[in-house]
Amino acid sequence: MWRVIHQYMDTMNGPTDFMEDPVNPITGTRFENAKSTKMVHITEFTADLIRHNKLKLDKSRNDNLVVTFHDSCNPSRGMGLLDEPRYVIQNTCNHFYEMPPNTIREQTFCCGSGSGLNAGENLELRFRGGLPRANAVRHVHEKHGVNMLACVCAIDRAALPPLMEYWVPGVDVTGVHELVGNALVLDGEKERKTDLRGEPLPGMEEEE
Amino acid sequence: MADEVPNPQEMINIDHRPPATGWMDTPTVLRKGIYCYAGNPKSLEYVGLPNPRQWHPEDDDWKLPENWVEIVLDGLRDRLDRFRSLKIFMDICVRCGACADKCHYFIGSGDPKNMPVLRAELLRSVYRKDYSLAGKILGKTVGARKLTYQVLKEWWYYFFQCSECRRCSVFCPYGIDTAEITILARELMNLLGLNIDWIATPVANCYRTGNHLGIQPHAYVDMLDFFCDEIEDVTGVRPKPTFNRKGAEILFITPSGDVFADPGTYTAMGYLILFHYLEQMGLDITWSTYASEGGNFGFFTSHEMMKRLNAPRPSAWGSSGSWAANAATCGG
Repeated sequence: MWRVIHQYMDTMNGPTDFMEDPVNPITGTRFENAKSTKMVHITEFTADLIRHNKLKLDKSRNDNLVVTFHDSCNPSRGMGLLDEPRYVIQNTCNHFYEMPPNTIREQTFCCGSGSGLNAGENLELRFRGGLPRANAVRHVHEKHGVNMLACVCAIDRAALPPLMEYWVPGVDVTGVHELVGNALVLDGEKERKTDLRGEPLPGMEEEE
Repeated sequence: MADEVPNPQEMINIDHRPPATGWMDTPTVLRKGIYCYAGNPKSLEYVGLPNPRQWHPEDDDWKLPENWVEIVLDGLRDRLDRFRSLKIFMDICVRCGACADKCHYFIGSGDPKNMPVLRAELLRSVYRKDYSLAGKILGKTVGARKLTYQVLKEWWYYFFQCSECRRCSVFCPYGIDTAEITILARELMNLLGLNIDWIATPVANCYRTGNHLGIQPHAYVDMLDFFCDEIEDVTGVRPKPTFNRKGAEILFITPSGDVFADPGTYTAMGYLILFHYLEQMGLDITWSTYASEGGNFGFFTSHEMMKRLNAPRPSAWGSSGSWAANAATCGG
C-alpha cells in the first residue's frame, strides 16, 4: 500500500485536501514528505518520537535477539523508506547486523512471495524466489549469530517464516513494532517476565 | 509441504545455462509447485471481473471468450495510449543484459524466461508484431510473434512469477521497470478472467469488508480485544483502543494480516502498546473497522481495481481522522 499511497493515490482518489497536514502531536514535527497524501508510515512516526526522546525504551528486553533487517521492496526501493526502520530497531535492540550491501536498501531482494504470490500451492516457486534473501540471512546468521529477521511488511511476516524454516532454520521473523512493544516501558506496568510471545525475557529463564 | 517441495539439497542444484533452443522455440510447460490456482469464480463475480468460471491452469481449455485475441490486443492498444511508460518500455530495451541475473526468480530457478529482459520480451514480441513495421513484415526474424493460446499461457505462467519488486529496474541503464510491464500484462489477462485465487479472493474480500481477509467489524474488534488480554497478561497494563471514532486526530491503518496470524499479531500488539503509551501524552488515535486494510491487492489486478479498493481510505479519514498513520505491505 505504501507505493499505492504515494505513487498513485493523489491521482486516483486525491487530493486529500479535506484533511490536515500531518503533524506529530507529541513532537510537533511536520511531515512535509506526506503533505500531499496525509499518510505517514508508522516507522517514520516512531522514529520521530525516538529522535525527540519521547519514548522510554529498555533495549535489554530484546537482548536475546540478534537482529537483521529485510527491506520490503516497494517501501524501500520504491519510496525510500530506508533509515527509519533501522533507527527504530537500533533504539530498541542492542544487537543489530546488516546483511551484505547488495542485498539490502535499494538492492533488497524480494521475500519471494510478493505481489499476491504467497499461496500454498506454489511453495517451490516461493522458496526458489526467496533463495537470494535467505542466502543473505544465512550469511549473517553464520557470521553474527543473527536469530531474528525484522521487517515492516505484513506479507513478509506471513512469507518469511516458512522461507527461513526451509533455508535458514533458527531464524525467526518479527515486525519492527513488536520490538518496540517489548522495549517500551509503560507507566504502571508490572515486572515483565516474558516478551509478547510468552518467551522468557533475558535473565528470567530460571523463573519460568 | 515436505512431500511436494524438493528438499533444500535438491533445490540448490540450479542450472543457469540456457537451453540449446532459442526462447521462442522452447515450449513453456506449466509445472505444479510453480503456478498458483485460478481465481474462484465467486470472487471474480463479486467485483464484476470478466469471465468468472471454474478452470485449472493445467487444463488445455481455459474457457476463454471466443474473441479473446481481439480483447487482449484492443486492451494492449488502449493501455499503450494511456500509459506512456508501457510504450517506452516496449520500444527502448537494447537487451544489454544488465537485468538478467538481478531477478530473485531467475537466481533461484535458472529459467531464462525469468530474466527480466526475457519476461518483458514475452509481451514485447506480441507488441512488435502489431505495432512495428519490421515486425509486421519480418516477423520472427526481428523477434515478433503472433498472440496464440500457447503465448497467452506463457504470459500467465511468467507474469505470475514476477513479484513486481522492481530490483531489475535499479540496474537497467534505461530505467525500464519490469514491474510496470507485469502490472499491465496482468491487467490484460484479467480482461479474460485469468487471475489467481490468492489475489482474486482477497480483492473480493476487501471490497466486501474493507480488508483482504474478510474480517467483519465485530470480529476485528474481538481480535484486538484478544491482543489487549495478551498485553495485560505480559505487562499488567491494558490498552483501550477505539474504533471508527469521529473527530480523532489520527486514523491508524494496518494490513489485516497483522490482526490475523503470528507473528504479525505480535506486531499489532506492539502498535497497541505504543498508542497506549502515547495516549497518556495526548495522542488522539483511532482504528477503522471498514478501511481495515494496509495492503491493496487491487494493485495486482488492475489500476481500476486498485483505485476502487483504495477509495474507502480517504473517506474513512474524512470521517475519523485528520491524517493517517499506516503500516504497509511490500508491494500493494
